[in-house]
Amino acid sequence: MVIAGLRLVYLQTSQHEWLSRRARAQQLDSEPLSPVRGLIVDRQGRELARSVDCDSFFAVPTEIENVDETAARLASVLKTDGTALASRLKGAKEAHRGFLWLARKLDEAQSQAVSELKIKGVYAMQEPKRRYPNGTLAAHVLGFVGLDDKGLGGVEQIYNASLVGDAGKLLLEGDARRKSYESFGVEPKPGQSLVLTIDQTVQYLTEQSLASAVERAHAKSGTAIVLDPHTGEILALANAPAFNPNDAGRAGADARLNQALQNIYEPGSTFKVVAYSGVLEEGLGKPDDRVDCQMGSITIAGRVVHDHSPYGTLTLTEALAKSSNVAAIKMGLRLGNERMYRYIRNFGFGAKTGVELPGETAGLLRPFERWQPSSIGSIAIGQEIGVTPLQVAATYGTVANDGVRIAPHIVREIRNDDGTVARGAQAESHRVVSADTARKIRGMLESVTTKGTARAARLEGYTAAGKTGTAQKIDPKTRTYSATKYVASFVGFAPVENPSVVIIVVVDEPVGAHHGGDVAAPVFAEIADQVLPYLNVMPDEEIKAPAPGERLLAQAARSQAEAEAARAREVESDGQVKLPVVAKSVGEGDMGEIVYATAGERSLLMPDLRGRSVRDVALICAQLGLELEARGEGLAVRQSPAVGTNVEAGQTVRIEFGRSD
Amino acid sequence: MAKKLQADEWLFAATAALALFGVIMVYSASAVVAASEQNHSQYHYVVRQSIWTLAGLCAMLLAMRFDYRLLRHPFIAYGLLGLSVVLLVAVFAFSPVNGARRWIKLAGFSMQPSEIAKLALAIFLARFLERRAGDEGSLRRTFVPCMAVTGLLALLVVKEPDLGTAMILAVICVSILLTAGARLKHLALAAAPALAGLAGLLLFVPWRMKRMVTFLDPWADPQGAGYQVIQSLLAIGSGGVHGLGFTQGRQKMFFLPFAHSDFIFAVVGEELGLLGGLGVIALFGLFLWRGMRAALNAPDRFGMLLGMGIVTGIVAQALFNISVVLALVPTKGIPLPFISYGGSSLVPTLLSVGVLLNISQQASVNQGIEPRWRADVEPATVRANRPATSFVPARGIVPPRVSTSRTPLRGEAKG
Repeated sequence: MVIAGLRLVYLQTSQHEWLSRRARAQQLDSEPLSPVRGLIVDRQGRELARSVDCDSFFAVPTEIENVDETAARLASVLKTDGTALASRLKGAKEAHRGFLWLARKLDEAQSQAVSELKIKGVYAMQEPKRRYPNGTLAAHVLGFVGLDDKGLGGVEQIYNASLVGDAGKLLLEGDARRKSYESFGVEPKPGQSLVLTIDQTVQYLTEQSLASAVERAHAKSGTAIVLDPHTGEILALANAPAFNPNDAGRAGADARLNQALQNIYEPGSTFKVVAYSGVLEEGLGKPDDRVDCQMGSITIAGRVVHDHSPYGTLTLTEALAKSSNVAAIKMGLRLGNERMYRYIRNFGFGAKTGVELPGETAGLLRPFERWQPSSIGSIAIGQEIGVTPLQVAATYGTVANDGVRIAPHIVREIRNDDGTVARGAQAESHRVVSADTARKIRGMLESVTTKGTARAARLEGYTAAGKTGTAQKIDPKTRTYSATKYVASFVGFAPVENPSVVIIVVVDEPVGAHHGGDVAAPVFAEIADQVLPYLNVMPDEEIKAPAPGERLLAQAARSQAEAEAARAREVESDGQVKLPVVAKSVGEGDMGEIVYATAGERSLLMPDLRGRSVRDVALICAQLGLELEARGEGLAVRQSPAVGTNVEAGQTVRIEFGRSD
Repeated sequence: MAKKLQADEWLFAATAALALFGVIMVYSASAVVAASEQNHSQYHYVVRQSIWTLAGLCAMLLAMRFDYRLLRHPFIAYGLLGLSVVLLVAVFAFSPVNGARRWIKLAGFSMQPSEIAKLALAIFLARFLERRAGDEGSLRRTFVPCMAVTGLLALLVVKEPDLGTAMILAVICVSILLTAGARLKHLALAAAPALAGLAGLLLFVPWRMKRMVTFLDPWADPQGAGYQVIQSLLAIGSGGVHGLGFTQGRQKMFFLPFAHSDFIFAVVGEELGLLGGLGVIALFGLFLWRGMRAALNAPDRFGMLLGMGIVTGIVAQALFNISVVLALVPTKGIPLPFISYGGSSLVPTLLSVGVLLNISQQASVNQGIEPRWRADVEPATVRANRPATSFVPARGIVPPRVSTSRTPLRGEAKG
């Protein structure tokens, strides 16, 4: 009796801790609770990526009695191969496995259909699914996630750790038969959200312009970047072809390549700005100095370089405007290898820009010690060097920002779940050339659009400056310059005096017209003409020509009074607000040209979105700068605000979707 | 003479407390199991246990009113013994439950012949040794017949198989023999073959051996042989000093086997902690003390020996059960008296406590008088006393030899 008592004391005091720990181990089941992945929003807070809960289905193969029938019924709903599913199920059943994924992250309709089958041994489980409401918009910036919600590209990959959040857990009191009878949980902590520097509207406009240009030129691909030179913020970064991050698995590796920072190309003439900047900064020349272009031919270390047309003596400004190779090479020779190399490095070439996107390359730049005697000539005209579009954009950003280079970046800040800022962007900056040099270069570059090779880059109401580039690609077979494959590019900024945006457009392998001035410069103009008014940049020039019909925002510009009057008339005429002006889609899966009415400079009238698909509505809203809050699926059935109401960019509109039948 | 026969209140209180505590604990331990069974509400077991407890307490009160001396009648003593043997044989006609044939099921009632055998053996031995008074030392006339009867019953019980109850029968026999004054030499002689037989049972019956090995290292096979012991230890250990609270135990969620019967003490330990566990042990201690006191104060030698048999049988079984739960001895399926679920054990146990209480009544009648056992054995005082005194102090009980100077029982109980 005493022994029993002592034993009891021993077990319940000194042994208490480890015995109860061991007991809890068998009694408590811990189920991980996945946290909600953080939002990704644009600079105005518009959602670019969000996680929603979706149903996933799994089977407990040992519970399934008739494998073939089960597989057949599931396959008909899931629209997959029934026999393959049956053999998977059979294999799992024979191996006595207790778990097999059937279909993951189904949409509402499909998950309901599977649930309605009520198959024994098939269970649903909620999993968060990443949704990109704007489809392909900013795909290369956002990236995508894998089935396990891990970021596999874009900022999703770089900031995966921040976005993921902390997993919670559900503790289940379980009995010995593995049934739980009580539960309590540790709530998961949602991930931090990313605020990008991207502006959804600018991004959309850029993508549209780029995509149509690439299509027009039958080009292999294309890249366009819009950069704020004063902050280094990337307002838009587009590649064509794009992919849909909602379904990234289906996209090829080529489409997922972020060419803006992974594609190395020879910059060609756009690179001449480096040599000219060096010469001006070092006091080796002035814009009005004359240079002999030797009637279009120069020999350097045995290599003969030609101009596309022979020039005699030109001022430096004229030489740059006409893109004389001879003059550019002479600028390089004035600087010499060492100084030339220093300017190239200072402008950021041969090093990663550090933008927060995966896979960036530093480009190709040999140290000057390893240059050939003819290299200085090649490099001065943008050959023998490999750069990325983003590096070139940053270089022109430096010129636009009075000679101070600010590292381009794409994340404004990381916000905590409660909205407080966890981390803001801290872009590195350094001076490359003096403000005076930068201003002179800007003036010289303006003449490129006024008198030089890029007249197509002129804007409506704004001065523009920039440089075309047309580089022959190196044929990997012959290792010489290809006669048919080009990279056409234009990089510039506007307005010239105080540039608001730097835009680079690179079109890879255009067919037919291949000159940067013909292929890329009009895209620059198309983007800038829409983006500058959108950004409320004051025009610094008179509007010369009426807006062409296809220019979206220009078309929309009407006086407020006129719009109000029109609206009043509509209301009066039949007591019901008509759809102001929205053309229906023309092509299949194509938005066609959307024309909408503006009620004022920044505000516009709410169009009738009813009857449109989710994708269409998302695109229209992106275009109008409206924040979309979509519910349901199918076609739009209800909208708020009502048709014809004044709405402003950034305002939230609620659209309800539904299926009528 | 007292106006009214007065039973030992402490003994009565300890018994009633243990039995009522049992009802409560059976509820806590069985509710989940009951609810999980088809057509059973969570009260299934506790309702039955309440009925059994009520029936048992009635049986106890009834037995209290019958003079225990009636049991001395050869018709009853031998009749009970014969009935036990018959029933123990009859057991083999019934289908096994959990692999053992321990129960006889008739018309919805089930009974356990081995429980009756315990009382029958105690009655027989008490009567037999009383008649052999003065001749307890005789090997042939006293010791061998006692051993033969005990051995027969024990063998039948082992055959069920129910080694645990067989060992309790042996404990009853030994305690009565020792009280009566049998020679230790004889007991040692009998112990040798008994231990050899026990060793044989352990060595040649594989599952017993396995239990033995498991007992030595339960953690070696936590999912198999060690499962019961480990689950029991986890329950006890989880309880700590204060316990998880009544009905708050988690090990009864099918982890603990036989939570409401053989392992109910583990539930007590888990839910009521060290305080509850020690409380139960203390109640059995109180039962032992008052029970032995009643037995040793019995008016006659029969009453004394019978009382000792009953008390030691119950307390030994309780200690055995608790030791199993605390992994002090290898696992044996025997219930905790009064507390474990099951009427076939509870009712006979309470009935025998009724007999014990009657003995305590008769003892109180004789208060102030020289105990009968002492007068009876006068011719052989020295020999008869030696074993008794040498046995009793070992249990920490004041030997009743000092009866001339001690205070009256009743005054003590009231004071």
